[in-house]
This record gives sequence, C-alpha cells and structure tokens, in this order.
Amino acid sequence: MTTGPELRTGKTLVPGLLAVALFGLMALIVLNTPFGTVGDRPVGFPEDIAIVSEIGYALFDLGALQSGQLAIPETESFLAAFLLIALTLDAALDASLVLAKREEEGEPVAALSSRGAESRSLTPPADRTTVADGGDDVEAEGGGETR
Amino acid sequence: MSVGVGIEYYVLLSMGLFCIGLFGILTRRNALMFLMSVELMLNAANINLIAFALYHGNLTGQVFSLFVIGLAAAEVAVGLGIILVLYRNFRDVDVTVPTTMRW
Repeated sequence: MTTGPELRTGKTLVPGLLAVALFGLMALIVLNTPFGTVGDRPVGFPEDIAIVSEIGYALFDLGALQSGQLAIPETESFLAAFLLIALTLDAALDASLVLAKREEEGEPVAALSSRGAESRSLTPPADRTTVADGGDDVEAEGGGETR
Repeated sequence: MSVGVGIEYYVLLSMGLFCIGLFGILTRRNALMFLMSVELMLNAANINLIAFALYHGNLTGQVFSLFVIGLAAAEVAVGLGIILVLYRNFRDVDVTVPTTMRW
C-alpha cells in the first residue's frame, strides 16, 4: 500500500510554522515597500550590450578590452576575489579527499586510489548482505534514513 | 531597457526560497537535507544579488553571485565529505545522533 505525505505534528511543527511566519512577515514588508527608480537613471542595463562579455572582463580585470562607451558603468574588477575563490575550491577539493579517506588496519586508503579495492577482502563477511547497487544493506542493521 | 517584472517579485521569490531552506533546516534531521536546504538559502541570496544588479544597472551583483556559486560548490564538497565520515562512524546521517562536539 502506498502512503502519501503527511504533516508531522511533533516538535518540528513549531519551527516549521516559524519559517512560514517569517515568510509572511517579510512578504508583508516587501509588498509595502515602494522601490521606485534608482535616482534619474533607467532601471536595467543599456541596450545592445554584451552582458556575458562584460562579466568576463570584470572577472579578469580586463578593463582595457571593455567595449568603450557601451560598457556597463560602475562595475568593479574581481581578479583578486576570483583567485581567492579558486584557492578555496582547491582547498575544499583536498579537504573532501582527506575526509573520504578510509583507514583499514591503521593504513590509510584513499577513495580514489587504484589500490583501494585490493585492501578489501574479496568475499564479504557472512553477516553483511549486499544490495543490487553493490553497497551494504544498511536496513538489515537498523541504520539508514529515518526521516 | 525596462525591467519586465517588478523588483519586489524577485525579492518575494528569493524570500520564498530562503524560507523553504530555513523550513528544511529547522524541521529535518537528515544531513543531506540540511545541505540541500543550505543550497536553497544560498540560491535565494543569488536571486537577490542578480535582481538588484539588474535594478541598479551594474554587474557587481552578477559577478558576486558567481562567487557565491563557487563557494557553494566548495561547501558541498566539504559537507559531503563530512556526511561520508558521519555515515561511516554512526551508520546514519541523522544530525542529532553525533553529540561529541555538541556545545
């Protein structure tokens, strides 16, 4: 029998209602705020401008290549921020690899190592069942997703 | 160039996304759902940045939203690694189970 979604009325009901109430409050504020126009300038970008090119010029600080009078005004350059984000992404990649590293019998086994499969026993233990996707059947052990 | 849709509707959309993310964080206990909810909140911020960049007629907000997307990718990489370790140690991804580092 299939079951449909049902509203949980336990202790998560109050925080959920809090989020809905926050949306209602913010919607009330925004809908009663007159945004109008920005000074005497028209809202939006000028016609016949290549926005993607301008984003690229701003990202790599290539102001000299900007399209002269057709350039979008008051756009800053972001080369330093671009490099910082690149380093951050690199660090995050390294961190995810470190976190994914397993240790078996004191030996670190990298997730992407070609020797990772060799360190495993070829025959699974008798108390572990294998599901169709090759993983362990965690439901048999009482674990897994509960909510 | 005129903006077809009023800025307040972009703000409403972003608020809706933000509150859906907040709802997920407050009501779910699955770490993967937490990650998805945080992504929703970051994308709500992105919609705000892009809408106000269009409204003000400069590109700073659009470029900044690209950086937010990059940071979200970094956050997901580390978050998935943490969830992997969580599952390996506790055989579960319920965020209320590990209490070792709870203040």
